[in-house]
Amino acid sequence: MMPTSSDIQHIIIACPAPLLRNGLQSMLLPFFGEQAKVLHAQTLAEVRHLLQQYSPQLLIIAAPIAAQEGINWTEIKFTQPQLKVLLFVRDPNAEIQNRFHGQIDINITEEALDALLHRLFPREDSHDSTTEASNLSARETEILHLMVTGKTTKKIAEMLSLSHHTVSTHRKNIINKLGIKTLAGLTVYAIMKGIVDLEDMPKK
Amino acid sequence: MFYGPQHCLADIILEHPGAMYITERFGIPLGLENKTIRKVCEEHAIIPELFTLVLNVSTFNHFIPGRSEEYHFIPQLLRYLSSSHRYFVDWKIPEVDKNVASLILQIGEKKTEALHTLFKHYIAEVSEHIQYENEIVFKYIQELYRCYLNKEQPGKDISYHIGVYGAHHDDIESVLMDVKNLLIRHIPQTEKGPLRRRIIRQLFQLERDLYSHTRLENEVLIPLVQNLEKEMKPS
Repeated sequence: MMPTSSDIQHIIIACPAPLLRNGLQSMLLPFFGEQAKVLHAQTLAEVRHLLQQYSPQLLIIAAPIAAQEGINWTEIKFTQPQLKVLLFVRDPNAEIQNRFHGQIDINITEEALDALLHRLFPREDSHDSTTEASNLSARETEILHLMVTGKTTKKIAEMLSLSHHTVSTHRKNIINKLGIKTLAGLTVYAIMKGIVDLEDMPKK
Repeated sequence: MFYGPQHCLADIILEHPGAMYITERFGIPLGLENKTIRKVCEEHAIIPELFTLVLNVSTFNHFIPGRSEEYHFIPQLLRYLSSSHRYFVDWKIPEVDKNVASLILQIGEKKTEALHTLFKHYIAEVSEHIQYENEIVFKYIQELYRCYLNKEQPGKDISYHIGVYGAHHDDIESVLMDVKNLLIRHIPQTEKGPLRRRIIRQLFQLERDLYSHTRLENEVLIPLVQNLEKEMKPS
């Protein structure tokens, strides 16, 4: 059964920097409350040990640790099916990695984190939360349209007079809300929802 | 408990039907009577230890193969993996593809054709990956193994090494996940009948099969070849 926020007993935050670990922990507190035990790890070996010992529901792992060899992320999906993994990157413009359940960066807002956690761990007392989380804002819909019609992040930023970082954040929020990670998948979504016409698609 | 050559193969298939595909890919027909894995393998010139290794990796998520220097596994393991490739490309994926096409017809909306395009994109990615393995990776391993048997030094043209291989699987998985997500989360079910459910079940099965296949490549084949490379091409 899909875990809800009240089922969460253990969360691992894996990051070498104590300040970032503590900052993330305090941002998680409003969503999970005091019931979840937050475990800190600084190395991949510690992550492996904690995964085996606690079977946690959420792992937030810094990109440099996740990039090391030692954990087979595909296998984890089958051996720890309850586990959701969020990749934590410092660079807001970092490329999105598809193998995790979501990606957050150092500039993530509390609202964006809350929306992502709502999708991964729906609350029992709020049946509409996932529906709300899958609705794109007007700005996100506009950016999705530009993405699937072949515009790069740089081009979108120029066209909408936004910073590169703001467009990257919108992209991540779109992916997190829809649960669709590839551009080909997002294109199908945009066509199905009438966000883009087939005639607008770039010809290959 | 994991399986060994002393276990009865028919009992294993009754307990884990997935083992039937493994038996088939090794070229072993059914009608197994009460023969042990060892006996059946001897009859078909299959190495029983390789058969149980493949069986255990494919059946148990928590089975971890030990570091192997059993280089004589290589030819039969490559044949098994090639047979598995043919299963995906010639049979399993076209079956889902046909069902997706039927579903689009049932839904009857022009824009849902985009879903079929996405699945075609998936098929292209899988086919390209499998072609790369068949034509580059497997051929390289066969040549390396031939040199090993003949006690020859690998020629300079064998510049490839197995460490290059491995990162391609992530993107393929993501597209498959997106197809499932679209069918379950985003495309309203207006059609009647069991077809969508059947497709989703097939996609989960395909994902599971590809996962076992990838484990065999990453956890058995690659370490085996890495050890052989160390022996053949000392740095």
